[in-house]
Amino acid sequence: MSAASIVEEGTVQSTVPDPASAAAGDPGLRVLAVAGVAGVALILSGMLVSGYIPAPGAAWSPERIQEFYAGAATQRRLGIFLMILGTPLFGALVAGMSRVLVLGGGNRGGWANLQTVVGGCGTVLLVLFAMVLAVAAYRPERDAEITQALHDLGWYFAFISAVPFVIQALAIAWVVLRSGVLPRQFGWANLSVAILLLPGAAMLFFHTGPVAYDGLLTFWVPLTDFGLWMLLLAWGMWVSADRDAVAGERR
Amino acid sequence: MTARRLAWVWLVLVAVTLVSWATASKDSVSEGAAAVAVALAFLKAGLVGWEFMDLRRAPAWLAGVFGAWVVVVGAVLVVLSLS
Amino acid sequence: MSAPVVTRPSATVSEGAGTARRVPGEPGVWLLVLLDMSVFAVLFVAFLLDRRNEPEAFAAGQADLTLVLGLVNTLVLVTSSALVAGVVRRSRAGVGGTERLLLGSLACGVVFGVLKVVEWAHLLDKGVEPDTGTYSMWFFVLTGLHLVHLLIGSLGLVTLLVIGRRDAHREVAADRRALVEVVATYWHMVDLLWLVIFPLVYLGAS
Repeated sequence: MSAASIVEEGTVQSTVPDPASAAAGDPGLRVLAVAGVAGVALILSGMLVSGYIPAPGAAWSPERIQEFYAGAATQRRLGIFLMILGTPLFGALVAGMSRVLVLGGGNRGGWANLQTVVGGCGTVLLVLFAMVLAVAAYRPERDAEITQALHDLGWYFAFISAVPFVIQALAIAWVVLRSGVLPRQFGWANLSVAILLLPGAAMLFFHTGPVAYDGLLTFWVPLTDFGLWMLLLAWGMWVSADRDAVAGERR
Repeated sequence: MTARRLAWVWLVLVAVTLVSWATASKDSVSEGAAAVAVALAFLKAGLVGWEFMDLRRAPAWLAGVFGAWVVVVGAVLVVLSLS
Repeated sequence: MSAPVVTRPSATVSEGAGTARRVPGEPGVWLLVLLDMSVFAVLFVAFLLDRRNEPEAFAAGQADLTLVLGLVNTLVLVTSSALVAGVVRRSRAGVGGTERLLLGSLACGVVFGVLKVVEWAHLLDKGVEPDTGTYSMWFFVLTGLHLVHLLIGSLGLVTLLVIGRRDAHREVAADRRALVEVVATYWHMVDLLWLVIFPLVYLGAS
């Protein structure tokens, strides 16, 4: 660690006093990591229960979407309920990563802050994803076009919203590769996440194929990628709790 | 890699590109010609990896994974273009 | 910018001093490149499976393209890739003169991008849009996704240019050389993927 970053870390800690980290490490990071893993589990199981995996097609007619919500309505609502519970937990990963990044590299250039800001935006988008789908599932007896519009809107919140998550992954990668607070492969994995998420932003041009909102590049790859990414961030926080303890003892 | 070797690789890539264009750019292209163009493309891809990306001096696992991509994906695409 | 923006442990570089086998750039960039290439591989297979289902429509869609633009772009990108390989060669040898080559490869990238946009505009003008049919959907998906990769790679080349100018009068650090190889590896992937896209999209059976 360079002298400059130690100085910066000092200033950060003086503005945000955190006596716990000085001697005993930062076990609170583990709590956030576990919360993030719980978030992945809730979101994925919710999507499975509500029948969103595989995704309803972007080319489906309004009537087909209406039937989707009218059939097995309670089961779908239960799945969406799990998503409502799980999506806010993404915030735990954002907060924990911010902590890890500041520990390692300070906040030079504001990059750790960038991660916090776009990650916060991303958390809101995920929450809205679940909430708007809940609205779609609430009154399936309404006009089919309205249900379709609500379903589209909900889906857009989660899948066209690639860009804030891309920026978040880039910010994490930048700080990690520059500071070495986590292994370099962690930084590269974040760059890979960014590049694999990005094509989803083009889904508004397509109703069929790999960039339609049920397609390979917009649904399957981001779903896998995003789930693994959340687990990866949780892992990074978990091991940083240890590393922080070591650094604290040295100080 | 010497400058001369680089220039040769570039020349081969250009020549193969022109050949595949010449054979597959007629008014009516047969499936065979299309498959040849795909095969030549993977030949070029392998050359780019081996020479430009310097995989000939990379560890075996890396060259192996890359080579497997070229061979497997190339073979599948050639077969799919044939039918 | 006062502080070095990208630092890395230079283990992989110092290993490369002799004839020992070493990973170009660093292992991480290969994770990204191989993942990306795998996704493209799935797309290529899906494209040809769709082509089998509607060969006439694909041939008709292909007839709307301007083949010579695809050909020129292939040659431009191959040349660009060769220039970047020259940059790596010179950077490893520790001799200067990389700036000219970098500018050349970047210029090729710009030509490629401009021609691609011209081609898109031409198609949209003809009424061929991403949602028009299966072939045009694939054309815009494959070329669009590739163009995004080209833009990312171009940013990498610009970064090398900027860093090269800044460090012109300093001893070139080993981690700079690794960064050169990382950007080059990515740029060659952009070239390699286009080499496959070109015959699939432009030279299919008709």
